[in-house]
Amino acid sequence: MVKSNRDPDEKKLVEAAIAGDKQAFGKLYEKHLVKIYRFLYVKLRDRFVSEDLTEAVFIKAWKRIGSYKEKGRPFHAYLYQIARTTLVDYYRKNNSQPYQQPIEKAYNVSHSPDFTDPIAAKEDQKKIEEALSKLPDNQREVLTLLYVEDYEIREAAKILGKSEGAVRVLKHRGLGRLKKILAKEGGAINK
Amino acid sequence: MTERKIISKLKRLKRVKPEPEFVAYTKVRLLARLPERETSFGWQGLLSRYIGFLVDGTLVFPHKRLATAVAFSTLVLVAVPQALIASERSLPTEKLYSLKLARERFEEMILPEEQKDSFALWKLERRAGEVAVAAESGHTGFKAAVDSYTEEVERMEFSEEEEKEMLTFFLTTHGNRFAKLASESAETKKGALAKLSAYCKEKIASFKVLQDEVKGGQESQEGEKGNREGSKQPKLQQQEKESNEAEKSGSVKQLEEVEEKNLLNQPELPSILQLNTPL
Repeated sequence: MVKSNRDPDEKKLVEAAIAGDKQAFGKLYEKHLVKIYRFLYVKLRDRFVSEDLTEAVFIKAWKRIGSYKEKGRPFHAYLYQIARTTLVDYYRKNNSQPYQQPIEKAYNVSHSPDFTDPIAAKEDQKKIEEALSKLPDNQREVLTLLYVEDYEIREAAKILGKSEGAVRVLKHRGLGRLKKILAKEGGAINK
Repeated sequence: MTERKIISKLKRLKRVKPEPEFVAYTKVRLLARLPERETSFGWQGLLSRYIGFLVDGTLVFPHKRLATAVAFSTLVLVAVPQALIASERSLPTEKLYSLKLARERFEEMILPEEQKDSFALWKLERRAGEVAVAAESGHTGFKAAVDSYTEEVERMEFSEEEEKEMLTFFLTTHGNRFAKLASESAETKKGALAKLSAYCKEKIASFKVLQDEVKGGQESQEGEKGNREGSKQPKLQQQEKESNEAEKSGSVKQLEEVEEKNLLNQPELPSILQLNTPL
């Protein structure tokens, strides 16, 4: 996983995109698309809306890339920032929580080799996702970045524009809250 | 449930992925939809283009917005006084001349009423200076400078006698100056300067005529007043004498008759024209 623009290839791609190279931006899109889609999906829980917003994020990123300066802030942090503002705009316009799609439509289960029973896997994922959706935005974002996208605390802090200490606190609170929610649901998720 | 178990379940969310068709199709669509990006916008873009090293924050500033604000403020603080100073030397038809006039108008606006006449004379002196500079330097705005000068003279309105004398003095000085310039200037400007000098003299003469008329008017008014008082004197004396006699005799009827007679014999009031003091 590319963690920052210290990756020379990504740095070159970003510079080319800033200079107006659409193909370079296309490569950046391929590299970060899944992460941005997942980040949006965990919040929205709607595949189609997530796809639309993912596309919107990349269009905005292209339009504003001229104002992007690295200065220790990786390119994906820039994309996450746009994704967060896009989500805020989306809720402001729609003034409601999105339709929550059945879990099976959201997952590409063919990419799940560690599950022998796909139906049980879907149910399991549905419960953790529902529990995650009940968390406050900042706690959910921290848990998604740390455990779904495998970022380190330092990187998550940069992406969210918070201190490392604040991210640690949010992680701790998020996990505690998630534990309570799952326990309340009767341990169906426990194996 | 342990924290570790929760984390392992969260990690399973990695399997959430967009459909491969969406990934492929969106890339093509996205690249086709991407507009040609503008590299700069508005005044920020303009500043970036010309003083980019400041705006980018590569030299001093760590924040672009702050850097832009500082650069813009510096530009305003430096450029506006510079433009005002430069405008002081400007002549008619030049771009900064309107700034010079605007500054004069502003100063005039904020001046107290009693200083406005002196300020008008100061402006007239400036206009005369512009004519002289334009004539000497062969400036294209010479004709406009002459027009500005005559307009300034026509605009002059003074209430105080002292200020009128000052204007006469200024016009005399300017007339002499223009006459001297006419003798030294090229043929093209000679005529205009001579005319301007003559214009100054005409104006002074018209002031003199006006002053004479005023003086004459005042004298004649005083004369008429004296005559009127002279003719009135015997009549009044006679009326007072008759009243006294009536009072002495104690006859009420006689007193009433005398009062009625006095009222009828009162002098006429002066007309409105006579009451008006000439300018």
